[in-house]
Amino acid sequence: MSSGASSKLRKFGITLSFIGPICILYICFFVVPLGGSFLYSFTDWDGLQSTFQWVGFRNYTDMLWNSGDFRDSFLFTLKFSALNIVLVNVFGVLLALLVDSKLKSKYALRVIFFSPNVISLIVVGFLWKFFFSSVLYEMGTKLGWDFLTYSFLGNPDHILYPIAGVSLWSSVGLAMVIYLAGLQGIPGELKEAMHVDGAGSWTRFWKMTLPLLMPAIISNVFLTTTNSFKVFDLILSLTGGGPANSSQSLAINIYREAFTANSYGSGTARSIVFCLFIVIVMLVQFRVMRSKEVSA
Amino acid sequence: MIRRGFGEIVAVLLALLFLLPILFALLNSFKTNGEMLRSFVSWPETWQFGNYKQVWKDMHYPRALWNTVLVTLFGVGFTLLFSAMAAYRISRMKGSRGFWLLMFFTLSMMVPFQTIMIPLVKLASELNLMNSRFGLVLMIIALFSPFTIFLYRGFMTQLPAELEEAARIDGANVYQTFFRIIVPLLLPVTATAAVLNVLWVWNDFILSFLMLQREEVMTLQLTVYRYFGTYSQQWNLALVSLILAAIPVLIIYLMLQKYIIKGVAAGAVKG
Repeated sequence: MSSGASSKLRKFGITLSFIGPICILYICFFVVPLGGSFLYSFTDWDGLQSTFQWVGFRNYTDMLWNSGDFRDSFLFTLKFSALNIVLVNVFGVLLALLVDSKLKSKYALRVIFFSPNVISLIVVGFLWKFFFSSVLYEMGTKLGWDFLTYSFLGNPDHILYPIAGVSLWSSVGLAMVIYLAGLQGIPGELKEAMHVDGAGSWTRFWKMTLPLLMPAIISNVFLTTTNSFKVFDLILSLTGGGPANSSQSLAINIYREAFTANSYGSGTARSIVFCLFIVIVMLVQFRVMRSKEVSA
Repeated sequence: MIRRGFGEIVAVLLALLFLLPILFALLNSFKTNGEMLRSFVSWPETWQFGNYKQVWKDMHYPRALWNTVLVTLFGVGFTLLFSAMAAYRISRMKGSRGFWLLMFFTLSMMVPFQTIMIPLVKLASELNLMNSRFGLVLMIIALFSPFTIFLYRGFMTQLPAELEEAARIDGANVYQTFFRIIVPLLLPVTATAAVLNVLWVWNDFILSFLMLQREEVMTLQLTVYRYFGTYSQQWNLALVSLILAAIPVLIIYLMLQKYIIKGVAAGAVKG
């Protein structure tokens, strides 16, 4: 009896020694702040004073009905994500086909197209800020190509496109690599069979390659979706959220609300809504993935 | 044959076009500011290596690099160790306990950083962890481990149980079994986890930006953010700071590209 209890205790001690370190850190720096966010979202805390009042759902109702900046940043993030998901995946497949071909340069091309993925997004944003406003402009004037002299980062109405372009540049390499793995997983016999059947390369792509790439498409769409919704570093360095706040993503909006406007209460409320939104998107994705697995 | 050659040329041109922003940043970083403002697309009259010397000194490059190396090394090292340990125990649990523990950790993979950011800053200042590289490392371990646990656990459930039983029969205790038998088997998944975590931690901006505000402890990304803002009137020097910030990771990438591309792709699909 006592030996059973002591062996149980010993087992618990072993488990604790394996899981304890990460548990403590995880609870301290993730679980506690998460709970904190939830609680603070019902207060008017400004982050400076030590006292605050409970305000019920006011932060939430204000956010949904009164603050235009939150709505704008929500819309911007949705538009950016939609554009980014399409661009990254279309070009990802195209580049994968290119570097899966018989070209001698295909290995070098893979390394080149993937390279922006290892550079920090802060650096990428600044790099393109320079490129847009100086090099492209001068090339446009010298070559007489007016479309290059356009103030890419200066027009609030079209700011979405240069940002999506830079985002494409920085992340298409990863999509390419995942699609490449998918392409290489297609058995050679299948390709040959299609050749024998006399299918043209266009039909072959739509009827065979694309359906067989489905798993890669699913993981890539998931990946780009969550990454686009969370976009922060890239926009911070490329446009700083401007001009005139036209490119404030949700992540930037929350950051500014908390640390520039000093509204911790409202900032946490926004961050909770942001989180719920992402969780819902991910759950929908899991559902879709499940159903695809069943049908496949 | 001609068609093949044509394809090669188009591909090389495409690659050059892709690298254009980097090439022009490189070119202009060797000019004087005046020369650059006259033309951004010209070849440098004389190559100004002095630009690099000045920025090296101004942004305290060796110190920023050292801070980044330190944070990455300890952050990723302990993330791997603690995650492998936790994943091992979780994967060997009977019943549903393992499942729930895994759920507990993977919960954080759904939560964006902004959702915990505000209380985390408050907590850090109360625990005196602001401006502390040690504090940053603790947070990195906490926030980067869940994905790593997820990755390790998936791998460990596929390891054959016979190895561990054989070790136990030979009289090895659970720690010896883990460190001598299991850990060596984890090499492939550890490579994937290490590549991903090193890239993430090395390139992290927002977490370190919130935690490290004193110049002496800043990492490369923070220094370049600060430097680029201060020198926005001197593009040539600002460009040097970008190149200096990107160069260490680019060198490592070129040396290990095969493993890095493979690791990132493997991890991305599983996450």
